Amino acid sequence: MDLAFDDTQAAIKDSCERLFARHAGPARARDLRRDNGCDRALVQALEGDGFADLFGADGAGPLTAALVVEWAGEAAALAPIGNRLLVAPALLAETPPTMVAVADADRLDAVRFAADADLLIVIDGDEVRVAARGDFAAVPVKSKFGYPFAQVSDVRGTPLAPGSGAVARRWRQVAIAAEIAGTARAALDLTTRYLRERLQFGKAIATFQAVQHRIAELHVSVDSAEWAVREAAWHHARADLAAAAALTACEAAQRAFQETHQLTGAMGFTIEYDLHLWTMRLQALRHEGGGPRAHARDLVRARWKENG
Amino acid sequence: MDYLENAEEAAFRMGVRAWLAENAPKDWRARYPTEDDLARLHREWQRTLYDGGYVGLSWPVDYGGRGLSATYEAILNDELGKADTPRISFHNYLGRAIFTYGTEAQKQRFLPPMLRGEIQWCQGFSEPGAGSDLASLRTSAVLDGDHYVVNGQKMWTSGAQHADWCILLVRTDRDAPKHKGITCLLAPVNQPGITVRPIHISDGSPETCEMFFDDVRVPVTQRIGDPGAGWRIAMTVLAFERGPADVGLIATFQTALAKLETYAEERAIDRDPQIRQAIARTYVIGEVLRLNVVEQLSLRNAGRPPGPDGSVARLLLTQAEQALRSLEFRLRAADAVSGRAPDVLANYLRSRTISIFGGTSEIQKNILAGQVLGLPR
Repeated sequence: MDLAFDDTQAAIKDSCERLFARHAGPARARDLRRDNGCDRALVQALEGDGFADLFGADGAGPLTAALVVEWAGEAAALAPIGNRLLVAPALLAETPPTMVAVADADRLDAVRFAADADLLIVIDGDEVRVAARGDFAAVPVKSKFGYPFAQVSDVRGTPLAPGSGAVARRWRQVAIAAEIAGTARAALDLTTRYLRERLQFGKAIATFQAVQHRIAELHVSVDSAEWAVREAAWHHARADLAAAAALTACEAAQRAFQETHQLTGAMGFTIEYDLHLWTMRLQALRHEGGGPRAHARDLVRARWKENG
Repeated sequence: MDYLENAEEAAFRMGVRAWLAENAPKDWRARYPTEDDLARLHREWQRTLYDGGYVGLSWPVDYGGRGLSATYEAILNDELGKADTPRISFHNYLGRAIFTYGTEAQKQRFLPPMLRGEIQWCQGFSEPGAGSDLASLRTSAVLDGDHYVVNGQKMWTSGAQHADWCILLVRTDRDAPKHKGITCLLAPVNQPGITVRPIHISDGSPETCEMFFDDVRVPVTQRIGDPGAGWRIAMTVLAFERGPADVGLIATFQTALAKLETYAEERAIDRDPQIRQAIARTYVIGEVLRLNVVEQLSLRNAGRPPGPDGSVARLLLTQAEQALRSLEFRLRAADAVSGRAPDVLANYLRSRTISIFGGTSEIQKNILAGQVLGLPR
């Protein structure tokens, strides 16, 4: 066993960091949010550099794809990168289009990225339907959760093979977990910097033990989410691991929201401060796909079945 | 000990309830949609309450009050919460500074119009570099004849955009130890040299303000208490700010929790053991808070002013409100994300700020450890 990045992963990390420095980041996210938009150019750049299709690539695979999804979340990238890099390649034989949205049939009233999607994947129990742009209607809704959402209706599209529903749900759990892990990491890092810089009582508030313990516990929580998502991706979204990764990540998301906002004080709640660019998304990700309750049920179901 | 209201108190409660049924504004959230509308409504509502005889219940008759015990304030706040009326002004805690430390002339000048809703206040305490460490504030006031000249910046002055007056903490003595060099001034918000800028929180709403002071002249007659007494005055004000009874929180908490229980029942998620437990835990926190309120009220009636154990109330209030709004968010996440129920997110975000505004939970715990438990620093 070796949990260190291999040479390919390290090289991809370097390239991605440069790419995200150009195409993502807080300022870019703010620009895009102003018009309720998202970042097609970023996904195209990933496609151009070959990072969008790591899932089935020799020498890479789902784990490396999941790492890119984490780093994109960390960089506040505003694009359906988890859907494009993890969910779509697990379901489709052909190369997916640039912008992919994933929805549950019973939760079509607020679907992330649907208004900009070239392809919509709808999970309905055991079944999955895929609809190209034009084969579904998407009306943008006003939402304050850091992503563009749209209300979806009139989905036509074509069904995939029976049993695709479970595959789609598992990979989506991995994708959500990877997005949360990266997003929470960024919120943690920003808060750690704040604690070092903010002076009260004549010293950095980072020197207070009550503060140190809180940020240390959050660090453990975010690390846990990372470990869980990487193992699940490496094992090709095995049902129990995927659900466990999503559940762990949801718990990290909740802790990250509450702790980073407590520790950055009133400043952290303002719109000028960047923290909300990540934390509001954590709230959206935490509730996607039925949220922690659904992930916990999936986990129990997977473990019972395999043990019984 | 007696957990029941006496006959007069019970009669008063019935009277308030009947009066509110007649006089409370109906459907006010829809009729007063903007911030400006709400500011206007708060003034009107304060005046209506005043005319009904319901403002300043526990204030001395000489200053426009009715001289009743604090229990009556709590009953009123409770009924206001149940009737879901607009909030009432901050007179009960900011007025306390003027009442306790002001001169007779200041009391006559400020208290009656404050109770009538003619003067709205904001609180100029925090600064960019002085939050938890409030005593390190740097906004300066230098004596020039019979005026102070004020320069500096205040943060988190909620309501400043609609306020008439600001209660200010300023540094008048740079050489004194930091807690001793602070003085309390009253300044009209609309005067030369004061700039008010709204601060938006992450959901986009203009939640609070910052204020800039550029050679603002404040007459010495608008100083409250002695020079250097500002810290003691601030602590009095904050101790009163902490009280959950003052904001009718118990009633709004119970109403909101009952609504959530109905919501869970209607959607048949009330059989989910996780949700049942979360509801039960939230209920218990609310009950503990209610008992704390009753105890604090008894102590206040016995003549004891709020002290450091007000931090207990503040921590409980924070826990209760955060548990409630987390539960609401959890049950109604889909409605919140789709924008169908925008209140759910706003309530949740606001609940997270309670552990920060008016003294962070960390500071409250420091107060309890140091001043109540007597632990060494």
